[in-house]
Amino acid sequence: MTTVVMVAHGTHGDVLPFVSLGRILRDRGHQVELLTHAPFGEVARREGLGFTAVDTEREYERFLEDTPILLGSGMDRWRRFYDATGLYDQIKFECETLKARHTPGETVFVGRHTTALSTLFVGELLEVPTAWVAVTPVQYMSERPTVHLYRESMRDPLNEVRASLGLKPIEDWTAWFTSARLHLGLWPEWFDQAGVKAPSRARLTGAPYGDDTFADLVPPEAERLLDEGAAIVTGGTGRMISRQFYDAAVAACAAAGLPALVVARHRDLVPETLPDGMTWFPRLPFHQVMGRARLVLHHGGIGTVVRAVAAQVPQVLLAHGFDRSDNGMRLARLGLGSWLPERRWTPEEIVPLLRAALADEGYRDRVAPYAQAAQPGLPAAAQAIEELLTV
Amino acid sequence: MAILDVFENEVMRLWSEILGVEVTSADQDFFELGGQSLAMVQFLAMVESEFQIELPVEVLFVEGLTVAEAARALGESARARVTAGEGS
Repeated sequence: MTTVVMVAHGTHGDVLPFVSLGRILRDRGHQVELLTHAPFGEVARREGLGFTAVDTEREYERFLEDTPILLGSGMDRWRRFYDATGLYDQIKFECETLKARHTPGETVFVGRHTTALSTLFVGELLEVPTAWVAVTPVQYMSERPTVHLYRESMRDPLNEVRASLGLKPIEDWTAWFTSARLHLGLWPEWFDQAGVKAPSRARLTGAPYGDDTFADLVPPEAERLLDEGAAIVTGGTGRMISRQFYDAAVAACAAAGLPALVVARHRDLVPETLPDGMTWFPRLPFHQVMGRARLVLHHGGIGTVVRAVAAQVPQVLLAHGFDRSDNGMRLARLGLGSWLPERRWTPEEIVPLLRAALADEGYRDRVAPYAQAAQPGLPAAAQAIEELLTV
Repeated sequence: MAILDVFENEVMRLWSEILGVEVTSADQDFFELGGQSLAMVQFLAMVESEFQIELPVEVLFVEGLTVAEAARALGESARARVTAGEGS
């Protein structure tokens, strides 16, 4: 039996694909353990995965609270973020856990591209086949600056971690950063072609749809709103979102006379009083409800983008930070959606986009081929990971 | 059209698409237009993909960057690539 040990960091959009991937690997007969943030323990265990928390619930909330600083300009913010969140101790902990789980010839490491440095370190130390999984094209687009950041700002503490493992300091940082044996990108080919393409070493497997790991029932109030022709408004599941997002989205829906399900994990991000016809939900099973919404007005996270395409629902993006504007740009190039940057989040700008999306009679025909090509990609990812032990 | 003008037009085109605002003047600043570090990463990657030119990563650390400055950086990187090619 193969033991697959996965390391992932970030918000739901980053971590849930690994939970889903782990479930598929488990169903294929492998023993799977996920190392990630504490709040994901419940869902990981429910899916039959072993689980080790790399932090506490409180530390994760602090991590989320610190993330808004990353929305500003200057890569220096990333180094300060890593310093503030105790990254190096966490990497050491992950390394020790990976070492403890290792059985020669029977273990594979799977890490989230960019942050799962522990998988590269221990993979190198113990010669364990390692896969790095990217969840958004921006992770590949960022490789050169990321390598620069690690080499110029974080070299000493990272090499100290390596020294504690008995590894030599890194000399060629680019070669080290791309040293995983397998590189997987969890998005469809059509999405890749619409912007800067993934490097040739990457194998694109299609979308993860990590959100179906939540087996929640659809609340009666959500059923009622969907029957009334409501839109879904969501800024994702983290706090890494502009403070203006929900204010702007709710005001625009109200101005357009559009009822809405406002989905946000953190209630404080949403206006205290919502207009008539709008209700807040901490989360909803998007795989069940998105296809019933008239439109999705969202923050531009890749999971929501691809999920909405698969559901053939029109989408408008209020994109701010990270990969979101790149996702919006790709969607706009494909004629499958529109997006606005933060400085244009006024009802005067948003409402015409909502109305145009709702009145777009050709949308269904246009999106249909992409929806068919947006099939779940995780089985292919699982198969590629299995092949690591046979090549 | 001078090569710098060509680069300025390309920078304006890319920034308009990346930032979702119309960029029309050489003295407009990326960060004042709403750009952030990852939008700049996006710009670097698009330049590399479309023109096979690697802008220096240090561009990410500057506090301000106008269209004209970005176009100059593009020109310098393009010249450096040509010179390196001639020398090899």
